[in-house]
Amino acid sequence: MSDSQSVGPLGVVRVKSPVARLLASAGGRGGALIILVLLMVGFTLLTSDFLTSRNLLNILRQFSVPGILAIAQTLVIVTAGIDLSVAATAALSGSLMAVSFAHWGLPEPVSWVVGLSAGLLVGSVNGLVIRYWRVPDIIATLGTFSAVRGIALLVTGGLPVPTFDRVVEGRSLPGSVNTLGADSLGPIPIIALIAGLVAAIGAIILGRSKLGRSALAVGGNPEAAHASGISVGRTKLWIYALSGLISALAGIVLAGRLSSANALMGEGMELQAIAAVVVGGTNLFGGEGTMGGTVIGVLIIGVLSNGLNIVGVSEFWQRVSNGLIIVVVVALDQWRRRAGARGESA
Amino acid sequence: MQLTPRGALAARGIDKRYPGVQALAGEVHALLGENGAGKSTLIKVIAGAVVPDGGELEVGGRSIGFGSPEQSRKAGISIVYQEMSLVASLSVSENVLLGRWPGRRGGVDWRSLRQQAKPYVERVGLNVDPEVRVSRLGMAERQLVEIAKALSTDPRVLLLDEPTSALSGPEARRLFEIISDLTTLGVAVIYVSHRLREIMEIADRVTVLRDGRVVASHPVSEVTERGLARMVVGRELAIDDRLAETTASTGGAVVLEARNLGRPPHRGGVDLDLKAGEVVAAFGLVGSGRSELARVLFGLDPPTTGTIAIDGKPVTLKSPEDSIALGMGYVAPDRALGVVSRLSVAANLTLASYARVGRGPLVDRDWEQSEADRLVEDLDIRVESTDQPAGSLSGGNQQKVTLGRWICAGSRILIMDDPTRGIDVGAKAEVFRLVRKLASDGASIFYGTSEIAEARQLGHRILVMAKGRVVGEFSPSATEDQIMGAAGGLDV
Repeated sequence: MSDSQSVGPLGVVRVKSPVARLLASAGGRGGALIILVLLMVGFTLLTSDFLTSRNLLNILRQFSVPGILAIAQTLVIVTAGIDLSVAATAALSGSLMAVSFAHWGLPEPVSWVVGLSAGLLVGSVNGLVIRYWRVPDIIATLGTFSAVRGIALLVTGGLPVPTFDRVVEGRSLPGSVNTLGADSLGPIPIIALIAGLVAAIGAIILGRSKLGRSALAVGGNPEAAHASGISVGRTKLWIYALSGLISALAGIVLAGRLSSANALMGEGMELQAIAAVVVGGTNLFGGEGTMGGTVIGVLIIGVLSNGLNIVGVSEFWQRVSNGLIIVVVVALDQWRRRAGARGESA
Repeated sequence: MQLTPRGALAARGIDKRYPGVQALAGEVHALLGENGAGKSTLIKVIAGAVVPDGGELEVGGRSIGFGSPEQSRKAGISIVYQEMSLVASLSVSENVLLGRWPGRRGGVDWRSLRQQAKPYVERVGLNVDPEVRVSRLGMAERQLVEIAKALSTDPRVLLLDEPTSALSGPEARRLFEIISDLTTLGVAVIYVSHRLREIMEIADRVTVLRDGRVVASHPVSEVTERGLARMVVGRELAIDDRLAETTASTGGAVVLEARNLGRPPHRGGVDLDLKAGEVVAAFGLVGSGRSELARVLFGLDPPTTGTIAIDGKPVTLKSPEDSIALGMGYVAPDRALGVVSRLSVAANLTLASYARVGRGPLVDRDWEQSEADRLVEDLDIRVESTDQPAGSLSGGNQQKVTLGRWICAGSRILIMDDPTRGIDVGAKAEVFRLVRKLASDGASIFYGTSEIAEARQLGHRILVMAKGRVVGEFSPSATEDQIMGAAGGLDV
């Protein structure tokens, strides 16, 4: 959507001093970009190992899957929903794809269809439960968050796939999955290209498509959307189904990156994805958000985690700092919105 | 700093488009201005809810700081907001004394809470048990609770922000009596309203704001209603206050036909015929069933009884999707129900149409832009750009965007429910013009209103509603007294 969405209701963000103005913009998308640049400059100064092409490509490779999940999450959050099940769905889809190919001996394209359909199904179940059973989004997807991992464990028997004594003779993961997940095109990891492609498609859906328009309307003002003939329930159903499908793709390429699938892969990635979306300036209360912001959000989370690793900060402290940055960035965003609202006249 | 003799409140040079006003003790000072002129902001500054960048605020000649509602309250300022500030899950007495509950040994002293709240509840003429939850009250009763809450701080300055917009005639009368009682006690009252007639009636002094500046301030005795309207919009207003013509309606075919249409809480149903090119005005006070009827007609709520036929064919309207497909549109009294404030003006104008235009999954942007340009021009919507968020427009312009949405969708049956509530005289005149134009182009319009004058100016026929029924039908040449009599006969 247009740039005007990041500014205050009057198109002007009014604040008092230059310092306050800088702080105020630091929560928006412009601000997220500034934070990203500052982080990169900071880590470059701290260690010579950060700004190397090898390390930067490594960040891309590592954060492509959370990135794809964040794109699915953006579509959902824009409708004022939330999808806690994206990472679990990814694990189930990746596992089913691997099991159907390696253990059941299905043809390669069919195993892709099995994996992607699983994601579509989980997403649709989320949407249907929210629409017809009137379960709040966070509860519906909390349910699938747990149940879907369980199903993935049942499917895999809790073991990595391919499992040695169950494989059909000569089978492991499909070649296409390995290629997409682990290979590079020139210097660029293919998995990062996939994430970029998904982001571009997501941006078109959100900014240009009828579904994206409905999603923004439903998230921004459900009553007005309803009175304009937009079905809130149907819009959400489509969006959740799409979220499931995108998560499935993330799970399949994740299996390729890890050279095996397992039911517990990607644990915690749903939180990384939500964090990236919010850091990228998408409004958790719906109606406003951009894919560009989400991409920057993913990069911030990625650079921070990678940089702290290189500098030698312990994993324990990283968890603390990850939590802090999410809260601080959102607090800044809230502050910016209030500053914008204060500048508004009657 | 100059002294303000007798001045109960002086807000001076408040910066960033917040103008200065002065209210004297024992005086009713009306603030008037278009939406976006700065009235509500000024009120919020005085109440301490918004911090301005400069200026000063004095009560009784003593300067008080800005910034916290607590400070303003201590200085004797009390406020009745336009948006309700009640906690629906608490009782009436708990709300009246919200934030000031009497304590006893760390707990709440419920008995003295009830005793302290009681006189204020009685004073505003609220006939409900003070122990009942606010969630069970109607809008008018809630507004009275709000006023009781403001009175309970024994204010020196009372600010009222469009207090009558949810009140019926008799309730508004009661409020005016309370206001005049207060002024004899030396309270300064600041009164914001769009209703010129009210201001002429109760105010001593009127200040007109435009673009955040004071453009005029006069004793009410020196101005006329028409003169005020001109000051508000800053130009001579072409108010077309002719009555609607009765003959226009006879020719058209019946487009919408409702029989025995009913909706809780009311028993009994409504019969309604809407012809092509006809405006049927439904006059009814809050609680008369007018809004409920409008929602049922548009398919927002299912009817409990009765049938609707469009072009002679019986229809079931399960949702607005159905009614929009049949060529209907709806303009709500609450502007928040109209526009999606973060979406652009263009996206709001096409909100009921984009899904049906263009093949494939993408919004047709060229079409959208050309529609937006056309409608902004035709409806004279004041925008900087059609890309600007609709929420940044003034209330009147937001309402025009909602109306434009239905023009874009090609609606031929418009259900409007008090569409001019809370918008200024200039925007109101524009809405009138558009309604008349749409009807003369052949649209059928159901126009619900709580103001008799509007009903007479717009309606080819006037239905009077009370308790969920149509209790009278008049031509626009009927007098206000006749119409009010029919409404009041059952409702008061």
